[in-house]
Amino acid sequence: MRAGLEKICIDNVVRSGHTLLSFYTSAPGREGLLLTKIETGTETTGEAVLKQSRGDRMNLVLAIMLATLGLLGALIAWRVGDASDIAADATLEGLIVTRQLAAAEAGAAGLVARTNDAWLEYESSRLSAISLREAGFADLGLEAAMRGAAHWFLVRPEYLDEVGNYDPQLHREAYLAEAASRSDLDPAPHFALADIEQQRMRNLLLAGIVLAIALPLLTIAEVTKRRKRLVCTLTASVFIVAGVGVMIWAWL
Amino acid sequence: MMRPVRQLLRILQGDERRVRSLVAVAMAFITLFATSVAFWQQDASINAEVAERTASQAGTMGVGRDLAAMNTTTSNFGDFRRWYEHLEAANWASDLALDGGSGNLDPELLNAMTTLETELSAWVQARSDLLQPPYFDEQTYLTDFAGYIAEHEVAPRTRTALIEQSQLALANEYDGRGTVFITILTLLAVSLFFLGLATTLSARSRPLFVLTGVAFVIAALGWTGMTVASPPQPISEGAIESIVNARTELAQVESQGGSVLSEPDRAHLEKALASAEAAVALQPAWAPALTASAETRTFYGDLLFFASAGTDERGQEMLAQGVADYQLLLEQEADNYSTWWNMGWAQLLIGDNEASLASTQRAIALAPEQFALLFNRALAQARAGDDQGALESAQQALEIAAAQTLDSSSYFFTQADRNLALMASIWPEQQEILDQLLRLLREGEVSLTALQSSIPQGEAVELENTALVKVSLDAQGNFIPEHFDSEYEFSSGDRFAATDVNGVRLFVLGDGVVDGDVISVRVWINGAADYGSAIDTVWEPLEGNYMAFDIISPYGQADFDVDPGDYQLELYVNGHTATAMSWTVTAP
Repeated sequence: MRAGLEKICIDNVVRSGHTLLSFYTSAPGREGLLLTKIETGTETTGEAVLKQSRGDRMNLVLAIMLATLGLLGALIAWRVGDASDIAADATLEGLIVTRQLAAAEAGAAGLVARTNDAWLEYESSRLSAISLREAGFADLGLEAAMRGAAHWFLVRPEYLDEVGNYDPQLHREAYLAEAASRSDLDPAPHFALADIEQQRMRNLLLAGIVLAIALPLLTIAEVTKRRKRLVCTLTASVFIVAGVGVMIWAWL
Repeated sequence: MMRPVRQLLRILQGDERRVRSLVAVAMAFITLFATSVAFWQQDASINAEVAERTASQAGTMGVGRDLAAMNTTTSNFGDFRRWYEHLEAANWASDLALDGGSGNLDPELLNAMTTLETELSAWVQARSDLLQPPYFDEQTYLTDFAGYIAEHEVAPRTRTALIEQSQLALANEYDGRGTVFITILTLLAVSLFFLGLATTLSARSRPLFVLTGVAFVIAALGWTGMTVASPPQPISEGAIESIVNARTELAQVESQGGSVLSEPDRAHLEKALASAEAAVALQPAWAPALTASAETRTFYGDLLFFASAGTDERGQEMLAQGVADYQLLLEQEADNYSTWWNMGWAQLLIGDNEASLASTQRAIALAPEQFALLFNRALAQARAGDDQGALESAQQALEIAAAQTLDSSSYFFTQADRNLALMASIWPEQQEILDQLLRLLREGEVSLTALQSSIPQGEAVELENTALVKVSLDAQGNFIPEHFDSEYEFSSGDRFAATDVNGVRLFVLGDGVVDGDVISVRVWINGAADYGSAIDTVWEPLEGNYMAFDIISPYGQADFDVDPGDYQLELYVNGHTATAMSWTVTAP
């Protein structure tokens, strides 16, 4: 080997069964200078050719790993988009249900207030009728009872307890239960689903970051040789495996 | 310094393969960096969506809760009315029974009714939250309506609005953060483009593109670092609760700007002030906290100003601090007419007439349909000595009010009336113009109500032949005297006790008044317009060319004594002031 010639460059081109080997120098001040080219026949021999063959296989592995990274990235992007759609739909559904719940709450309060007013009028007239009759004023008692009857159509007897007292809480709950049988009044599950999908998006993107760490490592492996190349490739593999693990965990 | 640069340039201009390798590795790292930025961008976007969702949810549920609360309050007030009705019926029956009946009612029936109505009042009371402590005092039988509404309506409504605002503010911050990350991603894309382009260029021009690409990356790195290090902070619950407390306390202040500020009102105002200050301490730049502080200080300062005839130093200090808060708010939202309006008012009260005029003018430009603003401008002009401008502004205000419904203006009519009447005594040097403005306002209100015009019609008439008598309900249900009787007469300026006086009757001899003229009566009690006593009627004289007008409230109709206080009565013919009188009723 001539002074200053430190290695055989990777450039090799296989054409029609012939291999073209190019030799470069790395001597200071002359880096990258082409020294000579040797065209061999189909039967190449020597250490350089063996190294070249291993390099080819390594290049193929690296290309496959890079392509895998690209594919995984595309998969993550698709799943993130999908999760985003589900989260948006769940949020919208939750807000619609919230509006239904608010309307039902307001409706229940209105109905309870109306019933309570009617019951108070009815009940006070009824009590007046009893008292007046007991005091010997049957005519006035009848007048009070007739006055009370005017309010009865708004009273819901099913919500009067055993002593005849109106139970507004029971009426309210019954109204909401009945409203819930007609339409969804519970926004919590919808928002919970949105939260789950949004967390999934975050986790998937985290997986993307872990996978992306492999990218510079593989690139370094692409441009380096021997031990450095191997270390970078193995480290990148670890990150790819870890990234895939996080991705599967986030996906499911 | 130059040596490393020269070395770098040599490397970049050297072996093309090596440079390509370096660039490829750099691009791979940039891609990793971009992936991280994309994660933060997505995270910001998700957080913004969650905050928007929380705001929408709070707002929607809030409307439902507000409606439910209003229904419940209405129902409780209904309970109160029933309770009061039974109590009054029990009192009536009891009084008659004690007198041995009224002749046509059986004492036994009255006794039965007394028992029944007493039981019913107790029965209703047991069923109403409003008639239980802490809103009801068993000793005095007084009900704290303001406290009930403040707690059941004002507090939840305010809390909902603040949660909504705080979440929307948070969503905005996250949206802004997301936008920053998108910009950073764009910078990284540009850097990748430069680096990629560099690999295709000659050795001589390559360094420029590589270094430019690297510069973009460095900028992106710095910006990302700063953005990640300063995440949006949600508004603290403590600040929200402090503002809720301040609003709840303010809602319980009963004074509307009279010459007296009661101790309970002062206590509420002090608590409101402390809460507003706590809110600002927790969130110094949050608009709702600043608004709560500004409004509390201005309201408190305003009440102190009128209660002390402008002499209370703390009131002046409070108003000045209110102005400072409003100025901070305007830095955030320069086109909020309400802020300019209130700031102009506070500036007027602290004597900064020029600033008040400018602020009010800005508010008018932003909200020209608000007639009260023109009245504020009139006041500022009057204070600045521009009497003609003040009168023109007041007239303009009435024209705007005429174009709107009276309902929307009545609140401000009442406020402006009270303020003008008090200011005339506080600023004696402007008394003449302030009296003119007050006259314009009152005649304008009467003309709008009675004649649907912003100005009085026809010629002014002076009514000198008027007489006032005290009236009482007799056993037959008549208010006596039905006709003028000098025994019951009193003169303008007189004082008398409320005992056994249910109201006042005004006799007016129609000299100069013709059929078809519109007669209006307005009454003020302790400086506040008493709309319940307002009368607008066409002149239809009785025999002897006179008319009688009853100033008897619904309580007077039910045989309650007239309320003690300083009374002022004005009579108008076709909107023109015809005469004015006043008297004082003392407590029995």
